[in-house]
Formats: sequence, structure tokens, C-alpha cells
Amino acid sequence: MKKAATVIIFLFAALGVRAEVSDIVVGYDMISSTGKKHVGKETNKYMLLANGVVSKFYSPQTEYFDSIKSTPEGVKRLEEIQDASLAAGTGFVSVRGDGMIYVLKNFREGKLRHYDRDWLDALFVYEEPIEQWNWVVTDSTRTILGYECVKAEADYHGRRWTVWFAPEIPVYNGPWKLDGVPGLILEAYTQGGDYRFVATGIEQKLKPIGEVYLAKDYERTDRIKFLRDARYKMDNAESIFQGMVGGRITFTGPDGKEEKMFEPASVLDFMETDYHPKK
Amino acid sequence: MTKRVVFLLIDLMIAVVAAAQVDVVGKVLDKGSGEPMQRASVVIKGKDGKLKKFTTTDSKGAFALQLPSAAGCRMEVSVMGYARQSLPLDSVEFPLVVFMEQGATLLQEVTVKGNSIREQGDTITYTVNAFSQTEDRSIGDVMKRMPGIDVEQGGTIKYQGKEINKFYIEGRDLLGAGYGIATEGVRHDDVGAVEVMEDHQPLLVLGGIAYSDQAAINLKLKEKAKAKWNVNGSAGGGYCTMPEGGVWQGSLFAMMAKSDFQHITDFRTNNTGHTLGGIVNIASNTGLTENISVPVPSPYSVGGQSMLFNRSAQISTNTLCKLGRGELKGKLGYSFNRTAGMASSATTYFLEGGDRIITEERQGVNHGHELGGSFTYEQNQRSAYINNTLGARLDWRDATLDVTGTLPNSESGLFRNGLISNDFKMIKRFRGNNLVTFVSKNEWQKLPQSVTIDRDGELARQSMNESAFYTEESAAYSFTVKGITIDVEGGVTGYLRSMNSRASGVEMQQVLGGDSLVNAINTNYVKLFLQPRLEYRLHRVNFILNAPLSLDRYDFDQVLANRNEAYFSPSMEIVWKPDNRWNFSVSSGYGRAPISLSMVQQGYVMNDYRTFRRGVDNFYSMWGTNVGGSARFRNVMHAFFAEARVSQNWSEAPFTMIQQLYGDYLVYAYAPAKSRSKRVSADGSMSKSLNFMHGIVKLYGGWQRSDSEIISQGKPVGYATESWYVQGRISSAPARWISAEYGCYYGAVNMIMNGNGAGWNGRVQNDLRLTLKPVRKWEWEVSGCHVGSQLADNKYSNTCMLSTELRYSHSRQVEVAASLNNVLNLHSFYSRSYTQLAMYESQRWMRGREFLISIYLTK
Repeated sequence: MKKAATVIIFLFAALGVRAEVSDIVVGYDMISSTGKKHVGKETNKYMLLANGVVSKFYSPQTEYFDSIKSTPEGVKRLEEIQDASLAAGTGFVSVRGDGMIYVLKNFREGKLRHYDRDWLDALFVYEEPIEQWNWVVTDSTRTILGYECVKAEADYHGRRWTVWFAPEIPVYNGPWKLDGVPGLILEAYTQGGDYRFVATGIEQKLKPIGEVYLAKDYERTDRIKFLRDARYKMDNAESIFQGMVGGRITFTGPDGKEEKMFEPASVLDFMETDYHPKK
Repeated sequence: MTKRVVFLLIDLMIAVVAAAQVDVVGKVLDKGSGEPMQRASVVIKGKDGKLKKFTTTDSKGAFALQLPSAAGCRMEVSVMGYARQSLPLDSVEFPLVVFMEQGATLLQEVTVKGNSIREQGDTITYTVNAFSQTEDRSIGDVMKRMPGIDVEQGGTIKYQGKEINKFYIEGRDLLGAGYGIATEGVRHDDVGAVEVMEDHQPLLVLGGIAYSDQAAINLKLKEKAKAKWNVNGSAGGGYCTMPEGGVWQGSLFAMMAKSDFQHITDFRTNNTGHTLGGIVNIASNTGLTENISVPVPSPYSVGGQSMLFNRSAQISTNTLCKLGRGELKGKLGYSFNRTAGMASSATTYFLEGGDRIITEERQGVNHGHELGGSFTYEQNQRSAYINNTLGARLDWRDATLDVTGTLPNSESGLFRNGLISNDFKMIKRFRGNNLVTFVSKNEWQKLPQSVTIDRDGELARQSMNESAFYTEESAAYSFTVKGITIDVEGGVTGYLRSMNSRASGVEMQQVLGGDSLVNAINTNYVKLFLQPRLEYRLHRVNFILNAPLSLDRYDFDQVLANRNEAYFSPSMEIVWKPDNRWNFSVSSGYGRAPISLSMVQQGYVMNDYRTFRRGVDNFYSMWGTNVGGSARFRNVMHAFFAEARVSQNWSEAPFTMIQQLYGDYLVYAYAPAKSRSKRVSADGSMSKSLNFMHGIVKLYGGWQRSDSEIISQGKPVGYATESWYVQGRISSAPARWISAEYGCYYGAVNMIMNGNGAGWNGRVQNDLRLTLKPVRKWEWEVSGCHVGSQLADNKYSNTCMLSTELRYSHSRQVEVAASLNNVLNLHSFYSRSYTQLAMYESQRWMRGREFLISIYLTK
């Protein structure tokens, strides 16, 4: 990792471009509902590297595996690990990444790039303008990680978000696409609690803000198309899976009853829900 | 009308309230350029430090806020990359102009935590602050609590039961085998993570070719600890009741870790019972060891509380500089130890005609000095490896001892040891997996020793002078075909050793024969060796086959007939890693090997004032067979580690040891009769983090039995020692104000002669440490240890040690500690052990109650 970072810095230096380096590193836990009662919620570890101009929100473990996959030797090694895991019946555990999202923001250009994948591991990237959130700042305060935080609320792409930000930290950014409040966002959640980001640490560290590994492997799309396609694949997961492996496949929960692979959007939708055709 | 009046009044009130408001307006400018600063954070805090208002500056650097009152309020302006400005609003006039100066924006940091343990391929990362507790000082203190890792006394680290092969700081091997000074010196809060790299092959050039089953450890320093001097030290003084007088301890540790330069200097001194030394380790093939001794009672500790009476000091300095593609490493160390011991003991020799008991009271002092240094150049690359290490070491020690009892005497000894060595190794990789290796080792060692014994004015003296030169020149070629790596190493080794010894004035002269107390022998050899090695990896199974062959020519300088010998000792190992959790291995070896040439000794040497030893009268070879197996399991997600090992060795020698008592003297020699020995052992351990109570549990257990044959008082005796132990350790910090650690041990040993057991002799130990943190900055630690040594079937000699320490942390930089050790002021300790056909019981004198106050400082 460190080596890769150094290489990136050198590459930028060689091109005469100033390598972007973070002013601040913030750790976040992303806690999201799976929609299944017997599974409960899952937590992914994310990291935000930010300076005043650019930022990168990513999952370090996923990036580690992506960095390995970006070289032929690494791919071979991962295959070996996978073979061993499969042979041992532990599945893909040892090479499983963590959170799958990368969000790269560039405030100078006013754009963000969002890298994600659907459940079939197809990779997609879309670019969109950094939108102004219509934050309503309230009087409520509470302390998070030793910082006095102020509550603000806004609607964004179909969901109502609440954030707690620290005005003392002059970084106007936050996890995922959240930003635009006068301070660093240390906690954010959607109404109903399906998605929540909680800061776990803050460090002032100069870390290179590099590109996403394997960026070329991501298919370009736009946000609404990505979300609609991903939803279609989830709603029809069983038939897609049967098409892939043949035969009839059913999924059962711990109670032995047949259940769907993914909950429908009415039970658990994405973080952005404005992709549904307007009725 | 009335309505109008009411409105007017309301308007007036609003105007009054508005007039009472304070308009906090101003601009934020860059001090360097005078440019306005956009998006600066402007925060107003009240008297209580709580947030009152906040805003950010606009494109002109302007801000505007309103406050009901500015009394007691402060305004803080911050921009990343600029020093934060804080000003009281009572004494300023508006509009304000705030100049921001470039500098560090100091934020209150909270470490970005990952999981406490993470696994990435073969690397396991332990987050240090997930395992640290407030009472910890060094990184070694924290590593003791990490599952899968054990830190032994002196700082040696084991991972899953096996010693690590490298200890890196920020990826660089500064300290080599002397890494103990880092585990004991580096502060835990300077380290972000401890990485364990499993199956670590330290030579990059061998990557993917030669398998290693040892792990390496890398300390990942926190950003704040990198590229700056990290210095910590301590000084303490106090009083001890035995030996009566003042006590002290002091230490200074300085470390700098940059990408191209690393340095550690470590100094420590004490007279509180902790011996120092062993800081410059130079691997040696000369095989010389001290043969005569002045048996000053050795150090012993009960529950970490040393019984030693000492004055010790050591200093070492280690530097690493990157030089082109390689690195230069220099190391220099000196240590001094004055140790004193007092013991009364009874040794029971089990003899056919009735046991013989020898009682002694010994009181003695050792003064030892060690001075050593090494200088290394290393290039560790994927295509080539070069290492040259030049090392030298000089030890000098003198010892005096007074003995009363069966054989009263007073004695003194002088011991010197000089060693100089140069090791060179070069490996070149070409055309994929082909390797050529050149090795050149040259070592010279000299070991003069002498002891003078005064028995009522009659002087006896034993002197011995031994020196040896060892050289090895070899070359190896490796290549890989279809996953099979074949490595063939061939070379020559040469060895020249001379030993002269003389004993005079000894009472036993007549019994042993006057001539037999003199030795003058040269033992030399030249060996041509060929070591083919085959390694094959099939899926997850690794097969390793070694088949070393050597042709030896031994030359004894006419004392014995010269000999030509051929040796072949094949061995194999199979390692199976079905997945990333399990690791199984089996190994086996068989072959013939020469005896150690130091055993060839036709005359007697007086080992100590009542023991004489003679070696074999000729050159012999021995046969040996060994089999072993191990299983390791780890589940990083659940922080669970376990391992188990079994092994068995058989050996056969064409000679048998003789143990003979002549009056109070003990004589060892060898008879030309075949003897066999066997050793079986099994041990295992497991450790698991207990996250719910912020703790860890570790369990260990082992059993072993060794069978040998000896001739005692002229009769052959088959004897065996059998021992087993179980040990457990649990630590927890269930709440912020308390942490506790409990350990228990039970072990027993038995000696069996001709099928009859002497009886199991057990030892039980319990220790408990409790740390209370009732208020911030204060800590109180109480620790107790109970040791029970078995005397008879259900009778134990019990010793309880109690210690306590009160600590006050003024800040991260300053800590003061006051300790009271051996609160109960015990003065002696009983122990019992078995040696060759004998039982050794001793009562040792120990340090009395001791009060010490220390200050710990960190830069």
C-alpha cells in the first residue's frame, strides 16, 4: 500500500503535477440494514482522506485487495488464496473486500466520481456534479469523539438525512456524498435508520489521495441507470442465478422457509431512492 | 390608539434587544499574502467552552455573527494548514481583522481504529491501542496481551510457539537478534500497529523459492513518532533492607526512525535485581564453551521479583544508514554486572549402596564485563543479496566464592573470552528462479579460564586455555523445474582447535593419577560437503528433502590416530496449509554425525571444586533419528490462535557416561560401551482475545520424558526424567478504572532409575496483579505471587511475595511511581530440582523489602 502511494506521488511529481495529499484522515463505520431480520445490520469500515480541494472516501480493505488485483502476480496469488479457501469450505472469506464504494470528490471542478459494483460484481462508475445540499442547521448539539457537534438536516436524492458536524474542524466534507455543512460531518443517518455513518477516529495525516485501482475496469454509466439496473438485477436475482448455474435454485432462511436473495425496494432501498420512475 | 402604543412598545423593545446584541464582524486574511481567506471556520465559544455560534467566511474573507453578549467569549478561527487563532472577544474592537499564519492546525486526534486484528494474506496486523492498558510502558508490555504472541524475559518474541526470525521497525532490521532492547525500550504509544508476517522469507532474493516457517514482526510507528527523536528515560532511588542500603535504577532510550536512517541508543543501570547484558550477539561455529566454573549461586526470580543482589549497567548503540541499494549497520555495546548470591544446599546422589548427601553453604560474587560490536553491509533485493558482517566480542569476568559444609574452601576464578568473526554471503538470482550463492565464514575464538581453590591454606589450581579457528567457503546453485526447486550447496569447512589444561595441588591427584590432570590436544578437521535440497510445492503442500553428505578428515596431531569419515544424514519435512487457518507439518531425519570435538579429552579437568570430568578417549560417531509433527490454527476474525507439537528423538552412542563418587568428589568419565537415549515431548498452547472484557486468555501445557543410560558406581543404570506442566494466564480491563491479570502454573518432575521412580516433585505458582485507577492520573497496582515447592507427598514449602506500586501520570511526558517490593520482607526461598541421578535442594537468600521511587520522562 505504502509502496503504491509512494509510486503515485512519484508519478505525479514526474508529470510536474502536485500530488494531492490529505490534511485529514477520518475513519467511519458504515452501518447498513440488510433488510433481513435474521441477519440484522452489517458494518463496513471506511476512510475519508480529504484536503480543501479533493477527497477520497473508500474502504481500506477493499482497496488493499484491489491493489493486489491490479498486478498479474497479485491476481495469481489471490487465485491461490481463493482456491485454498474454497477447498477448505470457507468460501471467499479471505479475499473478501469490505465496503465496495469509492467516492472521489473534486471541489475545484465541482464534480464527484462514484465507483460501485452490483451484486454480480460488475463494476460501474458515474460522474455527477457536487450538488448543494439544502441543509437546515438546528440548535441541537452533542459531543462526538470529543468534538461538540451541531445537528443539520436535509433531503437528498429521495431520503431525509440528519448529520452531526463539528464546526471546529474546518473540513467541509463527510462520508459518502455528504458535505456542505460548515464543519466535518462526524455522524450521519437516514430517516428510519437504514443507513448510518459514524466517525471512529480523526488523524491529521499526510496521505496521498490516489486514484482508484483498476479504474479502467469500471464501466461508465450514469447514476439513475446504475441504480435502476442494480435494482433490476436484485429483483430478478434468482432467475439470473439460475441462468448462470442452471437448474432450479431456492434460497431458504434459518427458519427453512424459502426467501428471496434480496429484499425488495419496499423493504430496503438504496441510499438514493430517486431512481424509481415517477408515478 | 392603544394598538399603536403596543406596537410602538414592541418596536422599542426589539430595538433595545437589538442594541444589546453584539455584532461580531470582521475579515480573515492570509498573513503571508494579505489575501482574503474563503471558507475559514469561525467559531465562538462561551465561558464554559461550549459552542455558541459558528459561521464560515465568504469569498471576501468576511464573517458576521450576532451575540447577545460577548462577555467571556472567545473566537476561534481555523483553516487547515494554518495555525488556529483564538482571541477573547471582551477586549477587541469590531470589525476584526484576523491574520492566519501557515502552520499546523492542531486538532484533537482520535486514532482511526481498524479492527483490533486484521488479516491481509500472510500478514496479521494488531492495532496497538486495542490491546494496551494504561499501566503499559513498552511495546513489549502490550505484545504480551496479543493473542498468538508471547514475549519472554529479555524481550525474545515467539509467534505461535516459534521464535520470530526478524524484528523490523518500519520495515528495517536495525537490531538483528538483539531486538529485546526495542521491545523493552520503545514506548507503546509511539507504535500504531504490530504486524506479524507469517512464513517470512527475509531474503527477497529467495522469495517464492525457499520456504520459511518462521514469522517476522514489524513495528509500524505512528506518524508523530517518525523522523524525530523519541526519547524516554527514568531515574529512581530508594532503600532496601537486604542487602541493606540504597538502591537505584535508571534508563535512557533514544530512537530515530526515518526511511533512510535509523538509530537506537539504550542505556540502563540498576541494583534492584535485574541483570543486563547479551546485547551483542555474534553467531559462532567454533563450539567453545566454558568448562570450569566458580559456582556462585545463580539468579532466580519469584513472580517477577528478582532475588539477585546486583549492580548492573549497560549501554548499546545501533545505527542503520541506507547507502545506495544497500544499508550499513553498526552496533556497539558494553555491559557490566556485579552479582552476588547466597545459598545453602543439599545434593542427594541416588546410589545403589545408599544415598549420599552433600551439604554446602555458598556465598560468592561475580564481576562480569561484555564488550562487543558488529558492522554489517547488506543489500537485500529481488535479484541479489549481499551481506557482510564483521563482529567482535570480548568478555571478561572474575568470580570469588566461599564454601562451608562438606568441602569447605574459598576460591576465585578468572574467565576471558575473545571472538572475532567475518561472515559473507552473496546470492544472485537470474533467469527466473535460478540462484547462485557464495558463503565465506571465518571465525576465531580464544577462551582462557582459571580457578584457584584455597582449602585451609592448601592451594589447588585448574587452568585451561582453548582456542579455535573455523572457516567455511561454499557455493550453491539453485534452479526450479516445474515447481521443484533444487538447491545444491557444496564447499569446504576447516577447523583448528587447541586445548591445554592443567590441574595442580588437588586432593584427588592420587586417585585420578597425576598425568591424567593434564591435557594438551589439537583437534582439527577438513570437511568437503555437498548439501542437495529439494523443495516441491503441490497445491497447498510443500515437500522439503535435505540430503547432506560430507567427507571429513580429522587430524589429532599424533595424540590420536587421524581419521577419514563419511557422513550422510537425510531429513524431510512436509508442510500442508489446507487454508489460511490451518498449518500442519511433519518432519523426520536420520543419520550419523560426529561427536563434538570438545568431547575428545583424555585427561581430567576440574569443573568445579568437587567435580572432575574427562572426555572420550577416542573419536566417535553417533547415530540419531528424529520425528516430529506440529499443527497450528488461527482464526483472526475471532482472535483465536492455537498450536501443538510432538517430537521424538533417538540416539545411539558407542560410549556411556560414568558417574562415580570418590568420597565427597564427583568424577565423570566415559566408558567404551554402547548407550542409547530417547526423548519424547509434546506441548501446545492457545490464546484468545476476550473482547467483551477487553482481555485475553492464554493456556499452555507440555509433557516430556527423556531416557538415558549411565554407569553409576560401576553399575549400569537406566534412568529417565519425566516432567509435565500446565499454565494459564488471563488478563482483563473490564472497566476504565480497573485491570487485572492472573496466572497459574502447575508442573511436576519425576526421576526414574531402573524403573523405580523417586516420586513426583511438584511446583505450583499463582500470581495476581490488580491495577486500580480510582481517579484520573492516578494508578495503584498490587501484585502478589505464591510459590509452593513440594517437600513430601502433600507437603509444600510456600512462599508469598507481595508488591505494590503507586503511579501518578502528570502528563504523557511525566510519570512518577513509588513501589514497595517484597512487602512481607521474606529472606529466603526453597527450591528443589533433579539433575543426573541426583536431587538438588537449595535455600536461597533473596532481596528484602525494598522501597523505590522513580520518575519516568518521555520527550
